[in-house]
Amino acid sequence: MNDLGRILLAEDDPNDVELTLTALAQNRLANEVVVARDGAEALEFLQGRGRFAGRSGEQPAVVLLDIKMPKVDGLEVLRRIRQDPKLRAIPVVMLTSSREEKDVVESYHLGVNAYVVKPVDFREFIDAVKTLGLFWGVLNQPPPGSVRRAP
Amino acid sequence: MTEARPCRPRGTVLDLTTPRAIFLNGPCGACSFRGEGLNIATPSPSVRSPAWRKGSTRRLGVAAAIAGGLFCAVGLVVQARWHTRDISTSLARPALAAGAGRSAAGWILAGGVLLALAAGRASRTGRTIETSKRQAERPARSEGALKEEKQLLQSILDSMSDGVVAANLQGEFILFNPAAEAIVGLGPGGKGPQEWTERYGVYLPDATTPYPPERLPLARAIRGESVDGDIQFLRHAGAPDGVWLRVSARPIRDEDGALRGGVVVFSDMSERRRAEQRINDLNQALRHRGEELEATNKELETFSYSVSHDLRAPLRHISGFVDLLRQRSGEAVDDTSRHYLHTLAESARRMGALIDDLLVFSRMGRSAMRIVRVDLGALVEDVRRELQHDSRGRTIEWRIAPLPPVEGDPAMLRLVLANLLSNAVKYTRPRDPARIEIGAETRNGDTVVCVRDNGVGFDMEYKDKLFGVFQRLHSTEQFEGTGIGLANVRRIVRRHGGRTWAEGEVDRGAAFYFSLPRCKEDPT
Repeated sequence: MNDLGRILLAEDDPNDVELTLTALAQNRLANEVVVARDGAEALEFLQGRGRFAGRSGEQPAVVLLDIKMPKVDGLEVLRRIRQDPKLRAIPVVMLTSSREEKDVVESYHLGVNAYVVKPVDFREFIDAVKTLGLFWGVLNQPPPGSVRRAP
Repeated sequence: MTEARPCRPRGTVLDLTTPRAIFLNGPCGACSFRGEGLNIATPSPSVRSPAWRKGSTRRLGVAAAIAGGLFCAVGLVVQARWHTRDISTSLARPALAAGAGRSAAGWILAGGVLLALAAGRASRTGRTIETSKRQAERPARSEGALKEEKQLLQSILDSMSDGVVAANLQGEFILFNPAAEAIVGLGPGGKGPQEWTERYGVYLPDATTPYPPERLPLARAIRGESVDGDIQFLRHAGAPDGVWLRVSARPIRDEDGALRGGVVVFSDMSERRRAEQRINDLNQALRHRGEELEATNKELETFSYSVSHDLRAPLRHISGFVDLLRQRSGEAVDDTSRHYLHTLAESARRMGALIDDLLVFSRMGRSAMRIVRVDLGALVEDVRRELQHDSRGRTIEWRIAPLPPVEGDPAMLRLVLANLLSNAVKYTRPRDPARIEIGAETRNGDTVVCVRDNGVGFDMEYKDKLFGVFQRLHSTEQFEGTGIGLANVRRIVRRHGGRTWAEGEVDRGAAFYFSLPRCKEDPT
């Protein structure tokens, strides 16, 4: 197996965080997950500001973004990532409850790499998270500058 | 109309008793109008009317002649009898409104009728009298023609629905036709323009500001101005509800161009105005409704968004943690606990399905439709192939008749067929063989599609419930489902302008129909 890329999970719901981390852990993909509790924190992490000031310069191999979050929502985070020359290459995946067409359309319009609706059924949810973690964290070759650690 | 030559006004018509009307005359005739007492006319030499001489006619009527594209005309009423002597005396009276000019003519185009009014006066009173006398004494040359012309003009003035009012330079009314009186609700009166606004209750279009007397169309016409399409509002004791008028005015000039007076023509716009008001009100209401609808739609969108996002999340959590609990407790859990956990997970899953269905249903109602020609036969084939998975191991006889092309949204129509066909497959489960027929026919120009099966059917007593949201006639144990399918069918078909209905009998199968409006063009 390849090295595991760092995953930034932007998710405001603690239950979802727990379930996602559990799903990743069950597939041994959780050793390098950073959790941001809203969009603003996700941006702070990516830009090395706020409580992430002075963190190591490497970027995550993928950002998993919830859409509906306090302060800065997922679509806005995506927009700012794509507008920032230093961040624009980072793969971003929407991981959301919303099936709304306008969310899907806008996400792709803003340049999202994938859009995944969280399945209600937990087994399906675990499968989805596992697939995402494996693909983006392991299989996909991220842009230079992102972190890879042995799992 | 025996005289076809162009003519100019020559005579004078004066109402000597009341300043009601003065009239004109041309070579064809002349008369005054509606005086209470003596009305006098001094016809030109070409005018002859025995009535004038005899003084026995109550009304001479209106005479008009239009010849070679020119007009000369005049209308009048001569009331009561009169004698030559009376004429003289009367004429002698007020140097009459007459002035120095010789004649004036005005015309009005109203209601599609060219009404020519000519007012003329002798330049000297004396001469007028003389002329009048002489002329009055002279036998008429063409009495019949003149009479006819007068009657014509009079009929026009009397019968036209537009009001016609003329005044001389002093602001004395010289013409006030019946329509004018009927519309205004008051006859002639008032001493000149300064009193008109008050007497007739004239207001600006705001219906509250009194009309400035000097700006009244007739007053302006008397000053030589023309006015077109002025809107004014009249309200007085005789017309308490008010009258809306559309007014045009022209100055009256004599043949030398000297100002003689003015004439206004007006129509009653009240009905139109009220109709416009009604339309405005309706438009306003419609706009309001539109805004409300838009707001409601927005709300609905927000609502479905929050349903989509916020309601689903806790369900996912329930299902997730139940699953984790199951994994964690493993074999240590007894059967009852396992049953509880299973029920929890199953309920969460079912609620998830309900939410999804509700969202689809909501989307079907508001998403934009893409109307194209749709091959129903191909859609049916497509859907049937998809259903094969659900019907594996069963014997189903499909009888699919040729289906006509229709116009509609392909994705939505596909959902209609998917619902009807999957229902047919589902509710024929106890049958072996199951039989599902799909056919179409044209009724009153609409395409009616029927999906019939030999399944468990339904009680017609509940047919109204079939197409309701989350309405079911079977328990989930008997036949799975959320009860949204037929509600979607109905909503989609309705959005296409069609109808849905069903026939059935318990244990003897069911038939579901939907109609779609006819295709606009034939396939080529």
